Formats: sequence, structure tokens, C-alpha cells
Amino acid sequence: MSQDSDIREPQSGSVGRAGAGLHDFVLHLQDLVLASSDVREFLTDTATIFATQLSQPGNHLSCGITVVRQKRPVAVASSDARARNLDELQNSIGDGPCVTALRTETMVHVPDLEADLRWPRYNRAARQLGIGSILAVPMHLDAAAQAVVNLYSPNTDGFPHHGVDASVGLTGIAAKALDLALNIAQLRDSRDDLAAALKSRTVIDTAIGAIMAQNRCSRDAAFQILVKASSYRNIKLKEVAAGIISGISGEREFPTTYDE
Amino acid sequence: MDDGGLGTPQPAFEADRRKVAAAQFQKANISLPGLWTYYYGIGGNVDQLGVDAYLHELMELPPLQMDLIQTAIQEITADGP
Repeated sequence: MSQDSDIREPQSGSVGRAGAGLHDFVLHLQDLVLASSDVREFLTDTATIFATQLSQPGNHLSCGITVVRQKRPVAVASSDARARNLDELQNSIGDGPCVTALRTETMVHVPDLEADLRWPRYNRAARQLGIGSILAVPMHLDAAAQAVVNLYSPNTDGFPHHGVDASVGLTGIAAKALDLALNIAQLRDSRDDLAAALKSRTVIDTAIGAIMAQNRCSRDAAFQILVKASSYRNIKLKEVAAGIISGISGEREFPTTYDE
Repeated sequence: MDDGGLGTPQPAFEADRRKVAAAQFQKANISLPGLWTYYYGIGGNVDQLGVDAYLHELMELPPLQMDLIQTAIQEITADGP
């Protein structure tokens, strides 16, 4: 019937528009994982293809994706300004269908915002933005993170049965891609941190050597002098060390070779 | 606050410092790998497992390493968002 009705169980032999659409969706996601420079960019592009893939003539959907990671700021991305406003609204109120889906890790469907009594404040505001129904599908991730795909329809009952199935199917596929993107981002971050640490350690080790020579003291004693200088003057250890070196040799740059 | 690394270890005092460091680490909302990498970057010598054990009050460390862990937490927190 519809383009997306068979997404969960594509039957062999009936590789029609649904199969082709799904195939493109997977390829597109893989490209995004490879091409995106950060998680935010990946999420924005994913939200956009969700909205395109799931919209029907006369039912133009908006999509927002929210990701909550441990010890990191929340990442929010959306297919358009409408979804962005709705997500921000919900986060500022602190309650609503999407926040609930994120917290409980279960799907939340609001077929008719007018009739729904669970989130009166949010629902009223969403109706004013021209929304008739909402579907929030949580992503099941391997990474230590929670994510939810928020879909907004201007129509009441914008997510009939097959629409819900299609959304759940696409979300399941996108969750794998997001897992990969989160993994890559984490590896990239720790690589950057390590490169910075190697650089900083070189500067500090050099300064320690200088202090040892000047004071004729042990490495530990030299370190204590450096730590004390840093804490008394409230200047970072690395900057105190750089100051010591440039005081001796005039060097201000400390090239360290760290290539991949 | 510290004795400049000259005095003999004072068990009660050390345990206290460990508690303070553990509490600061919890409050600072830093990941353990993040803290360890920074600590290594300012010259720390204990591995990540040792730092973890220290912050869980399971292991004692030489005074200098405790100083460096404390410095790392302070500097990361000062940099934080």
C-alpha cells in the first residue's frame, strides 16, 4: 500500500519501492557515518532523511533526534526549525512524550494532541505550533547513551499502524549507525586527548630536567617545586613549565612529532 | 596544605586526601580515562587502574602522584564548560 509498509519484514520477491527505499536508507546512513565530522552533524543529516523517508503526500513530518551521553552535553539535532522548536520547548518544560520515551526507553505515541491529557502544558504549546500528533521512538544502543527519534505530524492521527511500524523499523537501523558514529567520536576524542597529553608531558619533563639541574635535586623534589609554583600562582602546571623553559632558552614552541 | 613531600606519610592525613580527591572527582563530572589522560599529560606515572583504585580509596599513592591527580582535577574543572 504505502512505500514504507513492509519495512520491518521485507518479503522476498517483492522488492518494490519499499525494498529500494530501505536499501537507499542504509547506504545513506553508512555514508553519513563515514562523512560526518561529529555526532551532531550525523544526527542532523539522519533527522533529515527520517523526515524525507517517512513523509507522505499530505502528511509532511518533522524529525528531531536527542542523544544523552554520560558526562557530556546533550546532543539535539533536527530536520527543520519546527522540530527544533518543539524539542527545545520540551526540554525547557522538562516533560513531554519525547522526554518520557527517552527516560522509560519505551515508545510513546500521541495520536491526537487535542485529546491527550498526559502532558497538557507541552501539548498546548505544540498544538500552537501546528502539530496534530507525535511519535517518539527510543533507540536501543550498545553505547552508554540514550537516544530518541521524535516525529511530528501536522495531522491528527499522522501515524497510522503502518506508519508506526515503518518508524520503528527505520529507528532500529539508524540505532546501529548511531552506535558506530558514537564509537568513532569517542575514539577520536580520546586520540585528541592523548595527543595533547603527549605534548604537555614533553614540556613538563623538559622543565623538570631544568629544575633538577638548577637545584641539584631529585626528580620528585623538582616535581614538588613545579606543583607548588603552579598552585601558589594559580597558573596551570604546563604553563609554569613552559615559562621555565622559555626563561632558559627563549623557546616558546615545543614541536612534538605525533603522526598517525 | 601539603608537607612538600618531605615528611613521613601520615595515614590519617593520606586517607583524608583520598576522600577529598574522590569527592572532587565525582563532583567534577569527568570520565576516568579523561582524568587519567590529563594526569599523564602533566607528568603522572601511575596507570589508569591505579588512579581508579586510589579514587575508590582502595590504594595509596606516593604524595607526588596524589598532588598530580589533584592538580589534574582542578585544572580540568577550571577549564570545564
